[in-house]
Amino acid sequence: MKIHLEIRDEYPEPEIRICAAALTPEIEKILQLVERSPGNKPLNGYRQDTVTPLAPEKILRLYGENQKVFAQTMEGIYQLRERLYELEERLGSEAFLRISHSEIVNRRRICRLDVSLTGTIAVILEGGITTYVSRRYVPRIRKALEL
Amino acid sequence: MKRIKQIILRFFLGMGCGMFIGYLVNLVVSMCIGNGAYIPAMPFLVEHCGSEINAVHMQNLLTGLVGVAFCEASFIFEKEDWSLLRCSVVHFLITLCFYAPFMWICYMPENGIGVLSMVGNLFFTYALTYLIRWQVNRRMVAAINQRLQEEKRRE
Repeated sequence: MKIHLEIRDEYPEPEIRICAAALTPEIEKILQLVERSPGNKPLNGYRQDTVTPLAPEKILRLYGENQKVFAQTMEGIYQLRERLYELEERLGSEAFLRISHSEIVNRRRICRLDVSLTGTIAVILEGGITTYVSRRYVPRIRKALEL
Repeated sequence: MKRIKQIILRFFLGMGCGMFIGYLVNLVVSMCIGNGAYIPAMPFLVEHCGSEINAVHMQNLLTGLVGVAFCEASFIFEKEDWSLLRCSVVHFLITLCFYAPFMWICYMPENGIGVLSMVGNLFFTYALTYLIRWQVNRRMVAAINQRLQEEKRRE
């Protein structure tokens, strides 16, 4: 594997770019090493064979399904390698609110909350994406919003 | 272990509250039809049980059981994938299974209207509780929405 390092003023933020013909286990290991390092802000979203860096502010919601963690943005759904609780710690409650056991949503991407006649509380995110708040997490949301 | 503790705690809480409420109902009934006397149990129940004390035991047991049913069934509300309405309906049906026999045995309604008023009584209490809870949720959601809008405006 060739390693190419470029130190230049035109790169204000460090960027890691891996060029390869396919996503091999070796490359995945390198990605995991990089993801664990502190100060690495974007998250890596995996879809089929591609890896896309995801800026946290662009992520609408993060949720767990079938033992996997997914991020939903306006562009689509990506799988993440991190666990949900790790993401919650890393991103902080300033940006993301936990609405259920397996979901956190971007606070700034919430349009509004709605309560139906059946008592279900829905969160409507940008792009018309709807998800639901678990009753158990309502006090936590109120606390995070200082209500 | 924690769950077993909760079940036991709710059992005693339900038993105690049920019996206490049963006693209060007795007081009210006595005040209404007692002419100054305390009626520990309806005359037909006393006759059926053989003595006043037996009738009171029966009443206590049944009111206690209704209380236990009420408390133990409240575990239903922990089901997060069920809506509040669904939880309330199931809770109502479970407590009805204990409440209806208790009312029948202790107060024996004479006709269909009596039965309906018993069930209607319980249903009305549930409906009122549900509406109040729903209204509280609506206000809370409005407050959350307002806070979120304020945050967006500040940015």
